[in-house]
Amino acid sequence: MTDHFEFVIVRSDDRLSSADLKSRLEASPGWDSSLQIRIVKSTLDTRPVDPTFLAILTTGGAALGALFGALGGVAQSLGKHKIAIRWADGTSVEVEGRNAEEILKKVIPLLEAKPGAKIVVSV
Amino acid sequence: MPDAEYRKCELEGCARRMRKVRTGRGGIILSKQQMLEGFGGAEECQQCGALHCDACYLQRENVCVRCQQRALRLVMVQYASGTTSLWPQAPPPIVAKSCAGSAWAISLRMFLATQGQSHLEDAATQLGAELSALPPARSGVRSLFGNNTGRRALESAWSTLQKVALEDRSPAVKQSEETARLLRRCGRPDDAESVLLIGPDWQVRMGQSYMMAPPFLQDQILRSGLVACKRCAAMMHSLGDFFCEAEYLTRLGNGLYSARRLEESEEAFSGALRLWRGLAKNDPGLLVKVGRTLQHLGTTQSARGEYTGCAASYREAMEVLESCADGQRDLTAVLNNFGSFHLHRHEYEDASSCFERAVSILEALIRSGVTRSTEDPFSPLLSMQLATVQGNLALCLAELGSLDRAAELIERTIRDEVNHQDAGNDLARLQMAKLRATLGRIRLQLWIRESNYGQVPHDELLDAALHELSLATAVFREHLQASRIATYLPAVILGLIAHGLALGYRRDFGPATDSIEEACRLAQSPSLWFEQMQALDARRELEVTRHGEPTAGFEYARRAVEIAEQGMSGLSEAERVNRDLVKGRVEMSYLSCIANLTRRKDYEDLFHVLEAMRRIDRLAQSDGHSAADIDLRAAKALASKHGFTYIASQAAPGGTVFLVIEADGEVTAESAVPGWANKAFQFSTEIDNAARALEFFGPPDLERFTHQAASLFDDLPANAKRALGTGGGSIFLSMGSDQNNLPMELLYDRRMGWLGLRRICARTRSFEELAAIIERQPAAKSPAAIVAAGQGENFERIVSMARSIGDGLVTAGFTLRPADQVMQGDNLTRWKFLDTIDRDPSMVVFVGHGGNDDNGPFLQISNEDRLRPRDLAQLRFDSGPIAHLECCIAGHAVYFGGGYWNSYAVSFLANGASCCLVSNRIVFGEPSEFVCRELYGQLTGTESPSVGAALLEARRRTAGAYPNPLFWATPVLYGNPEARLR
Repeated sequence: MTDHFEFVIVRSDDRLSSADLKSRLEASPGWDSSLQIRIVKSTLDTRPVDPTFLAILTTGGAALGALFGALGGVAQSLGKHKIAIRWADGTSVEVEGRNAEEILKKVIPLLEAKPGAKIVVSV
Repeated sequence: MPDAEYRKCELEGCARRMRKVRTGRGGIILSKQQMLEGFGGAEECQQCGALHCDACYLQRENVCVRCQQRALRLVMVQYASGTTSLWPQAPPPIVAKSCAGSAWAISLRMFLATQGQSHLEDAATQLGAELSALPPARSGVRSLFGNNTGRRALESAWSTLQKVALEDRSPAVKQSEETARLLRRCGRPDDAESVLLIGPDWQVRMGQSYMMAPPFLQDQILRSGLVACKRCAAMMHSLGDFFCEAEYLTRLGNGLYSARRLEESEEAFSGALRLWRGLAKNDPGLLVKVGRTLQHLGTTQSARGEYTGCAASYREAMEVLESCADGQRDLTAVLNNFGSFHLHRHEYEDASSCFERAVSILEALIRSGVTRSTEDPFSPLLSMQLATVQGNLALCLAELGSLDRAAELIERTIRDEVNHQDAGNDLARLQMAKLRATLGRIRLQLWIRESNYGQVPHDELLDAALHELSLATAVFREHLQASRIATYLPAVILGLIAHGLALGYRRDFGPATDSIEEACRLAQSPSLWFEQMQALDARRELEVTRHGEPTAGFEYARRAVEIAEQGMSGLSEAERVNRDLVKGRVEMSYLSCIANLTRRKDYEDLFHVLEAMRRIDRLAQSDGHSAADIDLRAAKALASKHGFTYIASQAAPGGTVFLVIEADGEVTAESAVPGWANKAFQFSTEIDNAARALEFFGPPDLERFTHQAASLFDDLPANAKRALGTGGGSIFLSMGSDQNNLPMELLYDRRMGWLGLRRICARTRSFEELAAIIERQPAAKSPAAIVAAGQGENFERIVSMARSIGDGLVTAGFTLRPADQVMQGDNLTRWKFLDTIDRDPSMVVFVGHGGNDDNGPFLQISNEDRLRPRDLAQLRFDSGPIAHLECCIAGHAVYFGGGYWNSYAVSFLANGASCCLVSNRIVFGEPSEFVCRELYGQLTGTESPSVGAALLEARRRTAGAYPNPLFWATPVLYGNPEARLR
């Protein structure tokens, strides 16, 4: 399994800004400080209120668990049940936010099958 | 004292007897105790010695009825009947004696409500005897059960009686006494007595008795109280006593609110507010009164559906009370009311922040030793208020999906309540039972979520829900046997329903049926039609559970729907704002009817039910907005007259139903392939996700996209495929529930291509709305347009686009408002925008940023201001404008159940717009500019096509430059596609 993955977290609505989402993720219990998280401004001319997204670089399986655990927690706190994960080739998977283990079970085989790819997560 | 010493009032027909105590001289000041002992004022003729009781004041006109001399003087008397002067009553009734505890307490309360305060001694003696006859009180946990019920009820009655008997606690008393003295000096002793007596009596009657009294007595209490209050307010006004006038106006407003005379109530509170504001200028201590009256005003406005005014009143109340050192208690009440206001509007995030703040203040107050909710020492305990607010917060959290947090909060509240309450009176026990019922319902929701209706075993959650609901229903049943206070019946019925449903989920169908049937029986009263409807809906749900068949229980569904519609038709104008909640509750019954009626090919009834589900917003509006009810025959005639096709789709058990009315009058209804709605939702989500990932992955693969869209089209029922794929004329889509956001333009017919490039599908909420808008056109005479450019990223491009649109409109003969300019920067605020678009524009355009947060869709008007669909609720467009919102997600509709949507298109069309062009998805700058350029080029060109035709052409041209439908299919049209700018 490749050690590094580049995730992009996009928000499916405006309930949280990217800055709020970043703070919430970093404050989640079990957050792995090795996860590098940045707010990046969109280069496209789009018209959402907050045209930014989060870019996260992970190193290793433990960090993946921490990331999806935190994402699931935030999604749940917003009353959302599902997180959508999407790859460049159109592959996508929807996972239940409240079960980090299940997320990893579904996501890790796909990560292994597509090494080095950028992954977009919609919350 | 022997009866022989009493003399009868001289007036014929008056049965009151009195004995003279002394001459009044300068006036009579009675203590409350004296009043309770029957002392009062009367008039004695100095010529013949005849006595005239004060209750006959109006009939005798200051003349002795025996000798006709104008020689009456004030004397102090003791009345034999002991009645107060303003509410003389028939001879004292006997207080019903019973050992039934609560029944006795209720009897006492009714007695107090009808007979006033003067028979307290009799009541107290009897109560004392009852109490002393009881066995000693139990202690500890056992005190919550068994024969302590009677004691608690009696103690509760005793407490009520004490409150009544104690000295007047109205803050207006001191002022009233001064006023009374002034009145006496002016030779108006009767008015002086009125001033002294109405205050306490009103408080007691309204506060203690009104809620407890049966309906026929409530009317009586209200009427007498309102008349008295009006009289006093007028009297104070004539005396220039503004403090007392404001007090009486406030009481009058409260009474009128209770009587649901909301317009008059608002007027009374507004009058009181003016007075308090004036008084507070010289006495800042009265600012609390200003804040409190604003809160009353806000509550009345909320009940009248005046949401903007209500929010403004609550906000001002908060500002005022925050500035008062002693305003914290009232502030919590405002926050709770404001939170409930948001909760009602489904603005859960705002609601929860209000409730959370109220909880935090209440906890701090309680910690600091404050116990009561106002300066009145008998006002409700703050701990009870805290429990209420926490209950509201829990409901809010449950709506936000945080069921675990909601359950934890209610559990904590119950623990605190158990610790705070001693033995607990009737009210406290009922309050606790209500909390337990709420907890039970939340746990039931948790079980449903975790187990998916029992598919995944989670018996512990169901057992926990049943435990709470059993405890609650036990208290409710005990309460029903003892007294059955009407005020609590709705809570009791809801508790029984939830208990029945939970038992059904555990497959204990016998007890489950009993519980729900009991709820149905209890709700068999016209005033409880809402609860009856819920009980019948629950009965249907029970049949679904029993048979494992989603369309089971059709007969119960039908009855629930009938009851709902009958009940709604009887609601007052003010209550119509709550209709969306009604439909939300009975939605599954409607869906059951839709599924069954489709199967039976009963198109008349099916059309009726589909329409009924979708006309919530129309019903919530005033009569001026409403269209007539339309039956299938009228609908077919209209379709034929205008040559359009109407397609109503509705997700229902057994598959999404498509009802089609063709232009030639043919009607069909068929179900799509099972799972069509889910597949369509997934497709819609995927398009959204693709738009969000565009930056990283580029546009989605067109071939794959087309394949999915074609598959979705293939799975439509034959009648919908035929209607969408063939024929001419307009297509109107009325897509029920969440389908309102489905991408019909993005369906792909393998023979004809993308639907969105072939014809324009205009969306409406219902056939009724279609009938209302089909002939609407923007006013052509002196047309005015409002074009606004909202703040945000890429502002220069936004302004440039807005100016380009504005220039096109000016070329086409429009005048830009205000001041011939595009609204932007400091000239664009939410209120300026609303003020400007009100009434008579022919075109409204907003270019900028939009989004969707916890409170639904919004337009980013400025950095501080967000415009919500609800903000448009009180506008009225007289000139049928075309509205165009060019920003992200402005077309997004939030569905709240029961056919109720919240979106800009809904608000614009409801208020008179002829059509509304909006984006359901993310808008990208360049394609958006392309679409607008083409669209306005068409609309303002020499040919002046309809909006539908111009949009179709703009889409086709955009598709040439940007083939992916992610770009060309973004704008969708609501309303009349035949609307024209000129």
